[in-house]
Amino acid sequence: MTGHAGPTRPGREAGHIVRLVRNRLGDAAVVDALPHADGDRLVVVSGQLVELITFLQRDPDTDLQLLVNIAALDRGPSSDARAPRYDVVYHLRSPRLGYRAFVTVRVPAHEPSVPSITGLFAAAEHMEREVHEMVGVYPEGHPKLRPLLLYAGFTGHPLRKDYQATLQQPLVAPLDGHHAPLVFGPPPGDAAGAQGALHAPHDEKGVQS
Amino acid sequence: MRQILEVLPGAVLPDPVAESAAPGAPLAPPDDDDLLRPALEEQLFKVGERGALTGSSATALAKHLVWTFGPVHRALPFPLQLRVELDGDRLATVDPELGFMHQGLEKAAELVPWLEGFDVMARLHPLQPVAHELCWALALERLWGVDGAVPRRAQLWRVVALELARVAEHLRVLATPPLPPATTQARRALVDGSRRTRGLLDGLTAGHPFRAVGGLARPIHDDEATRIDKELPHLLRLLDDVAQAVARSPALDAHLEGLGRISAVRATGLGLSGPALRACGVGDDVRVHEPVFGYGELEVPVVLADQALLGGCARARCRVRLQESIASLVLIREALARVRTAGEADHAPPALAWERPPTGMATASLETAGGELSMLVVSDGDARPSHVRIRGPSSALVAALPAMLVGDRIDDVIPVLSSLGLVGTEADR
Repeated sequence: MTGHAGPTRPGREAGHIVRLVRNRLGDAAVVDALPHADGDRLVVVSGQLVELITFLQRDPDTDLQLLVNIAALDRGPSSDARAPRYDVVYHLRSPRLGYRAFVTVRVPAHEPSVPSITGLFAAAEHMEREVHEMVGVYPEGHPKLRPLLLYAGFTGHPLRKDYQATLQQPLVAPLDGHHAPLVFGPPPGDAAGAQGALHAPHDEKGVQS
Repeated sequence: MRQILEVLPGAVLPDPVAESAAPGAPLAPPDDDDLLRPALEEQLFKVGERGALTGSSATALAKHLVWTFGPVHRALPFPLQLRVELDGDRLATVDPELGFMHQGLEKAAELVPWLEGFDVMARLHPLQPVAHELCWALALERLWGVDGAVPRRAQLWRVVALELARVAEHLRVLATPPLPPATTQARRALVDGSRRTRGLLDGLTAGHPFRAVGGLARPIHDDEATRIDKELPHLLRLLDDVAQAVARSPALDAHLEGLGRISAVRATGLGLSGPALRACGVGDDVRVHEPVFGYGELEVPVVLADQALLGGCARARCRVRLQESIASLVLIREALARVRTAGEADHAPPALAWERPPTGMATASLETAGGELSMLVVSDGDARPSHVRIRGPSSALVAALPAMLVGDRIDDVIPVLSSLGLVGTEADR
């Protein structure tokens, strides 16, 4: 019933994956590579992502067969549309050898898309759906792209830096409000005041007049 | 009666059908059933637009029924919608729909100071969030580069808390109605063990000693170790009895055999971890690969499913959980023995030291009861996190539901969902 793994198996030393990638795929395979104790970090351009991840998954020496997460990070809007705005971080782990690697793709604002890796990892299907809805990075080649945690009528990408947390959505009430949103001036097309109560401005205490 | 008896043998009786079919006769009024039938069919097959029959041909129409299960149903572990396509009573397709409990926790964590992130992480698991708090603490310690400087006593207490949380969660899952071995004693033992472990853990985490970076928020006295130590033999005896009963008569948990089966290759591809992956025979445990906290000085056994069981099904998952609970109790006993001799210091440096971290990215992963919990934080030197990303084991398990359930029967959905120990707030964040 119980299989004991024996003595603890410490993970490989930092830089193991970096060395393997440089030796097997050449220096041009990655833009940047940083050995790290918690998992080597590789930076790659979008076009080389699938090749690199295929190698990391299938090579018996790297053996990174478990996709733990895909995290898309937004650095915020910048004046230069061609500057990289999003970082998509692929978090891989080897269940057999017990070490990790983080592959980062820098994505420019004017073309927010990365190649889908659902062909390599079935786990990527949900993760890429989430990346798309939350940050708006399009996974190219995803078999069935639709929202995962949000719903079809939701507008915007909540985990972008320029998305206000208090923004009201069709099915989401305002964050700080148990009252209707503040509207200045008369409501449009409502002279008789049939809906006046809904649009009435609030006084200082937030109570509708 | 008298009329029937008076009919002589050989007499020709009037035919009621022939009479009613006489031309010009008024039709008999339809009975109630006939009146109701179209309405019933409409209700059955057109429940909104979700329960409608689909398919382009008449055969497909007759064969597959698309049915929506949830999001609110007493058999579901949390608000979750399963759109299933039924072939008879077999599941032909399963499509889980998530997000009914989405709280925007990742966005929320980016809006508050670093130490207040503990309060956000606590919302990932409303019952017992100690593992999520410790994962956040580990991520922040790595960001500041102090993960090697945490006092040994605090690290051992963290192991005790994590393992108690594992036992409490495993027993909670095992005690849910469809799962326990089919004896009253076993069911009572699991419920009793679950309650006792929960009590121990609640006592240990009272006052939130684990919500701190670099140590404990408040010291934990040796009396706490004595209190837990005193309960351990009873808990071990309870669980040993259950394990032996199951080993003696395997029929006790045969009702779970083959339910929600998944192969090791598919489970790995879908990113499963924890007991769900170990039930497939993959010896993967983050505690062994990355011995954080006090795990480095303890021997962590990896519990695998019995090969004879083929593995990967609800039965194997439940057995792994049971054996892991016993192994964790032994681990707690070892850790408690070391706590007493680990010196006095377990305090965290004051909270003022953790206002602005250096710039950079840090990741932390912990083996929780359900599997690997992973956090990624990015700092740009500000008083608030720049980015927080969380991936709990429940997310991967929900993504794997189609692979587990297709081919099973519709009534197997409940034990399979129960055996996975899903946490809704963690999957939906």
